[in-house]
Amino acid sequence: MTNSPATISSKLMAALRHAPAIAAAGMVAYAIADGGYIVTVVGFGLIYTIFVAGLNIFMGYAGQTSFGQNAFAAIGAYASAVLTATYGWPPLLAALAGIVATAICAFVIGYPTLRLKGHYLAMATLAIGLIIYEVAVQWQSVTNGYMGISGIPALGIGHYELLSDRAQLIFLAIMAVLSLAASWLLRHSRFGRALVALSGSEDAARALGINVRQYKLTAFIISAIYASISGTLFVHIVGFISPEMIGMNMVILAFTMLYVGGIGTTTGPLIGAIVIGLLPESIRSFKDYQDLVYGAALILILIYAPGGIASLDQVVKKLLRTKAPAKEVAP
Amino acid sequence: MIRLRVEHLTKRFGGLVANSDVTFSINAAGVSAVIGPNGAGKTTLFNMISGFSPPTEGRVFFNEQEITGLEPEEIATRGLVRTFQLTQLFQNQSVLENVMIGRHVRTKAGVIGALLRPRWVRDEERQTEQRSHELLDLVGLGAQADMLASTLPYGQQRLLEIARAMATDPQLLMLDEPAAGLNHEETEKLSQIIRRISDLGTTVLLIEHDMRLVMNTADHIVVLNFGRKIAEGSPSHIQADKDVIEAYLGGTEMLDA
Repeated sequence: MTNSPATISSKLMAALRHAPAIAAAGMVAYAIADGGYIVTVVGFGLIYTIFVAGLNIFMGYAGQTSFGQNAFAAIGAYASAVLTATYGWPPLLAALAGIVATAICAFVIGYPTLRLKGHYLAMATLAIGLIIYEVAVQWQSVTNGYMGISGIPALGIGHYELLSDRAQLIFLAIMAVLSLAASWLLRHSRFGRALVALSGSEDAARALGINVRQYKLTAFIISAIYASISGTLFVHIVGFISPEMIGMNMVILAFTMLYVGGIGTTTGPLIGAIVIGLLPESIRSFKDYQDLVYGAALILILIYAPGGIASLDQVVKKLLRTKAPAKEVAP
Repeated sequence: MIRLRVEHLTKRFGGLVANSDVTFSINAAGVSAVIGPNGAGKTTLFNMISGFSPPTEGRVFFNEQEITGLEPEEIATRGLVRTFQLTQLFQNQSVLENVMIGRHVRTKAGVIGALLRPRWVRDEERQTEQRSHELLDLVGLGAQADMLASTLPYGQQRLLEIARAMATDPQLLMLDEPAAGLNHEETEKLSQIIRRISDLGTTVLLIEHDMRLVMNTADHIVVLNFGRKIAEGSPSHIQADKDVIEAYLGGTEMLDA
């Protein structure tokens, strides 16, 4: 017998593996071409792609837990907002200052906190997010409290500003692609291998000479920098920031995106952010039952694709195997 | 040349004495083994040497340099690498990637190198992959490189753990019960691989229950019972030792070997 059916199906499988990411990218391209209301929705999806990609490095690759990533987005967001709107800095310089401040904070916070493991680490990081929220509310002379900061200029360098929705969306798409590319490069390197090693077994990683504490801290700082960049982009696109925008809801949304998209996969954050971003829009016709349908959709995705949409090919593979067991005999 | 020397090692957990005043040394050449009945303190001894559990008293010397109380990753970097009784593979990674992770201490690229990929990083990656394939061939897992580690049968998982440890280019490889759960044929193959590793210049120290493996493989044996060393010497010397035979309840297990 020829093995051509097998070859075709393996090619199909390879195509299927990339299909969700391609579909998400297609959605972005459609939004750029369309230019209507969807631009806003997809734009938020792209900002969250960057935020979730950072979370994925710490949680997906290194296997740690952080409920406090909103803190780092907040530092980036407020640094950009205050420095540009109040002090008139150029956006790029303010963004860099925000990144440096975030990295320093992540180091100072992470150094003692990352001694903790599992639930204890989760609780400690949760506290960081709550503290930063309170700071944003109480430090009125800088953050303007609940009123927030408005009049934040659009992104731009010198006299060139990204004013049109479409130009902004293209810029966000480029930033998201760069974030995912960096994530892929990090994963497929000595650094990324050390992260998946400590995620798999800290004892085994240490026995192989991997400095577990140092790598956890580095992953934490990198994920904080991703969060800071997403915070900066957010304030420049929206032009406004208030404490409500950097609260716990941000963390819950990011977790949903990470698990729906596929934790530990490089493109999962993009897929999750686009799907979760568009889901409320696409089920708007259900009116009163919107939340119910949203919840049901999430549960269905996580039951039938526990590895997230990015590993949909695994689900299909499993389905095919149970349907045609005779063809899957081991060589 | 002495590869490893332990002096008066003692480990107490509260009132329990797991090891008491254990002293021995291991030559750089050949295969050595630590044997003893269950609960004799073998794994505790391994943990003290490899830095996972610092000794209550006593000192450890590796290549005549003291390593007592150093962190495990520091000890591994110096060339003393261990495996675990319960295999600690990175289950969700491929067989090849497991071994590539083992190259960590012999490579240098960091975050900046990963992002910018200069030529030296690309060369390093290529060498890491090539060396990992060689090591998989050494343990006979060359054909399984792309499989997920978790899908390997148990015996092959143990071999993979050895290949991964060898990827660190260790001077001393410590194997914690490598034959546990292996069948006769697999144990035979394991014995050959351990001899190969020793012949290639790596000192091997194993903890083992399987007497056949120990007697066929080891040149030098240290016997523990109730946390103390009761005998030390060549396999034939150990097999004839009265205390050892008594420790093994009349020695049926020994005589079988």
